[in-house]
Amino acid sequence: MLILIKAALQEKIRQKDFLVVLGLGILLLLLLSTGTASVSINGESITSFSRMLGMLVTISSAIICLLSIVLSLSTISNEYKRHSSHLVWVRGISQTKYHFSLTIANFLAASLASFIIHLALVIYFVMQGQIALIPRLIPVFFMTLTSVAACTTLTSVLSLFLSPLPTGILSMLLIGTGLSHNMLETLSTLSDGISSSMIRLFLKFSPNLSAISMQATAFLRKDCPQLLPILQVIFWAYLLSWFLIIYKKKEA
Amino acid sequence: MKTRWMYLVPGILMLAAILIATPSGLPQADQAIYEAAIAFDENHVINSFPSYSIQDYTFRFFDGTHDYVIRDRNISKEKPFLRSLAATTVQVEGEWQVLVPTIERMNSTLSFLGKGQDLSSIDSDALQVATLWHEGFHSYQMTHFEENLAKYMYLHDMPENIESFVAEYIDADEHLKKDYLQAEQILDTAIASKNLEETKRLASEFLDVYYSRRENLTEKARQMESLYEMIEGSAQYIESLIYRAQAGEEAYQEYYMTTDTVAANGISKYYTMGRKICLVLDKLSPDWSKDFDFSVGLAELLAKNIEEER
Repeated sequence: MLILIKAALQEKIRQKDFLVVLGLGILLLLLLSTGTASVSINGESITSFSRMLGMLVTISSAIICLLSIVLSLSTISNEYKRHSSHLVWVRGISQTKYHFSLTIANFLAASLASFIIHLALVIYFVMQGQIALIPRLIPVFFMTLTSVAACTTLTSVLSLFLSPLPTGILSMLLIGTGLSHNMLETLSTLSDGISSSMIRLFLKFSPNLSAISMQATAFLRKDCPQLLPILQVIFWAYLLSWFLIIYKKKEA
Repeated sequence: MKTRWMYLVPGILMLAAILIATPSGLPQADQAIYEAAIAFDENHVINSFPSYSIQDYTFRFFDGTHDYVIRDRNISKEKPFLRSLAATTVQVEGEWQVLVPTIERMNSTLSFLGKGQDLSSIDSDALQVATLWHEGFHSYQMTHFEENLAKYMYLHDMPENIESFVAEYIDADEHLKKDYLQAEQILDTAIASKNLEETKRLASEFLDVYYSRRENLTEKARQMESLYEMIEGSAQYIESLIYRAQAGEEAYQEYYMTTDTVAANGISKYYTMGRKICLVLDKLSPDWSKDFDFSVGLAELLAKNIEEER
């Protein structure tokens, strides 16, 4: 299993699209943090550190989730397309172990990308003179890994059934809902109509990734984060992972 | 097969932890806020409007899915009466009740609107308690003085969309805005004055500017302004006293009395004006609120006080 994970991980890192998206993500983060680009809410420009902090955590989470989906999109489908899977079956490795190994490789590659994004945040903190906050980025990085786990597991599971394009669309939809969970929940409480019920139904199936960003921001602001939202996202990813165990592809 | 059974274990443990940690019922934070509000009532912390007791009114805490209704210290869960994320007063089966979002729901809304960070300098617990007193005060007004309000202010004839009305007929006129700000600045000086005679003189000067400005308003606009100053101004006045009692003088000054609170646009200026008239009345006639029955406007009451002094 470890060999499978290592091989899949090495292939991931070699991919050009990984480097391109990662590079764009870091650039965007640094542009926003240095004020070259600008973010405004209600027409008011956000420039103070405290206000930028929440925004940066949210944006970096979104970039990391996007990277996680991109990295996980074609892993399993490419293996079956190239018939590499047969090389695995002949060695008596089960589908479960194979799919799990590929998913773990996706997770590790996305974690590496997440680590690099967090290094960009370290640069921002140094530029803002907030060096004392850098050690707090370590637990924040681990909190973000729960979002990574959710994204990579979801995309890997969907890629068992669907080709890359519908996998990507559905993953973006569910993860996008998860990243906007708080906002959508607030909107849905304001009405009783069908659209409101549909939003609430979709929210039930998506992981609350906005809560992860909120806990990370709270921790950076020296507040006490809540563990319940983090546990809920991990459990969501765990439930999805059962598909890796239960579902058997016919090619095997 | 054995692996699958082993893989079940972390899932069961996580599920158990989630079920134990997931709060049910009215969140503790909201219960604490309610209890703190009641404690101010029981300890008679403020002397204004002594006939107002927050415990007399039912509170509905809306968490986005249900209303947690507190009535006589008992909490029950009901279907939401109104899906609103703003604190307000509603009439439920003939009873005026307070409807407020839970703290979590409020924070989510503020965060959504990008306002969460604006409140980082405010004592949010104190503000929550003060908000309960503010909305409870509206229940008090509507329960005991609805008839007076209706008779005096043509309540049935108010503009449907107040904000649009104010924007179109009042805020669009720069002279009206300028005069309003001038009147408010005179009030600020009166409030800060330590000399009773000077306070009276400034109150008189305020009324001159105030009434002179109103000559340029339609009757409907005058009624609307008076109504909002009286209903919302007095409620914000109560709110500010509770906030001061909990958060302290410095926090109170920063939140309620800095120049940032002078807002020329929208209806919030009537809240501020009404509150400041109440503060001047406190200086001139400390018992003014004891028998106040909302049958006259606050400016009229101030004029009456000055007249009586003469």
